Amino acid sequence: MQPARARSLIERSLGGDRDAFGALVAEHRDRVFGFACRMLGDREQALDAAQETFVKAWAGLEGFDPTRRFEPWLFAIAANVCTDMLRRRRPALSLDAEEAADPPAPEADSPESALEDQELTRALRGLSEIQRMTLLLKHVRGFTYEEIAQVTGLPVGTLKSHAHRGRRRLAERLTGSGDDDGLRTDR
Amino acid sequence: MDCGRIDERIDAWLDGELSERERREIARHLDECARCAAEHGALLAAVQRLEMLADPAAPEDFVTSVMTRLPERAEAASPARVAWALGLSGALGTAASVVAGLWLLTLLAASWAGLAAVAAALPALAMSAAHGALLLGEALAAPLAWGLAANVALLGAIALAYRWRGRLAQSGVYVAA
Repeated sequence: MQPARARSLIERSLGGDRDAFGALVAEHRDRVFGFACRMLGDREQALDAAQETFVKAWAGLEGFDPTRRFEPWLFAIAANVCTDMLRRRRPALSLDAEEAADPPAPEADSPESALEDQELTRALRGLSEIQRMTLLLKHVRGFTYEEIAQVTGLPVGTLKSHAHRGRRRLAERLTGSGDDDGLRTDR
Repeated sequence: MDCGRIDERIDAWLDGELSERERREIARHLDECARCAAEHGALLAAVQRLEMLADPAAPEDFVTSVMTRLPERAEAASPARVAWALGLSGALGTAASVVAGLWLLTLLAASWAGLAAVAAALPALAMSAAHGALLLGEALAAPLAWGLAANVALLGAIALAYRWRGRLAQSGVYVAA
C-alpha cells in the first residue's frame, strides 16, 4: 500500500502534473542513482541510467498498479535500463576492462568509510549481474523476494538461489579468499 | 542447534525469515562454536556491510535534467478523458432510450388510456433526460449505474402502459390507433 503522500503525487502525475512528478523524482533520485552506480560501476553511465529510468516512469505511469508499492515498480524500470546498458557495453569492453572501471564515489562520512564503500563496490562488481541485483535489492533496498521477483521477472526460488551464491561470493571477495575471475553472468 | 542445522538455516536468517527464538538459537550457537563462527562470520559481515551501504547523492541539477527530458503526457490515455468518454457514452445511450421511449408512447397516446400511460412514464423520462444532462456536464464516475436505473424505470413504465391498454381494449374503452 502506498503512503498517502506518494499516492497523491502519483495521482497528480497521472493527471499531467509535472511538479508532482518532480517531487517523486526528488524523493527517489538518490536511491535509483545509487542502484545504477552499483549495477554499472560508472558514475556518468549511472547518471544517464537514473535519468532514463524517470523519463520511462513518466511515460509508463498509467501501467503502475496503485495497490502495490511504487518503489519496486520504479526499480523494475531501473533494472531494465541498467541491464540494457550492460548488454550494450559488453561487446565494447572486455571483462577485465569492465572489472577495472572506476567505482562511483559515494557520499561518505569519513575517508575510512569511503574506502570501505569502494572496497564493497569493487567486491560487488565481481558478482554476476543477477546476483548483484538481487543482493542490492534485498539488502540495500530491503525489498522482499516477491518484490524482487516483480523487478526481475524471476521466480522467488531462483532469486533465493542467486542470493545464496551471491552472498558467499561477496564474502569471499571481501576477505580476499575468492578467485578473481572477473564478471560472470549466470542469468 | 547443531552445526548442520546452522548451515541449513543461515540464509533464512539473513533473509529475515526466522522467528525470534530461532534467531537467538543461531546467535548463541555462533558465539559458542568456533567452526561455525569462522565459516559464517564473513558471510554475516558482508551482509551487514551491504545493509549499511549509503546511497551516493545524485547531482544537484538531477531533477531539472529529468524534467527537461520529459515528453508531454499523451492526453488520450489520461483518467479524466476516460471518465469523460464514459460519461458521454452513457449520456448518448440515455438519449437514445428517451427517443425510443417517446416514440413508443406516441403509439399509446391516441386515447385517454394512452395519455395516462404517457403521464405514468414521464418521471422516468425526466430522470433519463436529467441523467444525460448531468453526465454531459460533469462526467459522472458511475454513468452505467445511473443509465441502467433510469432505463429500467422507463421500460417498466412502458410495459405497464401496454398491460393497461390490453385491459382497456377488452372493456371496449380503448380503441387502438
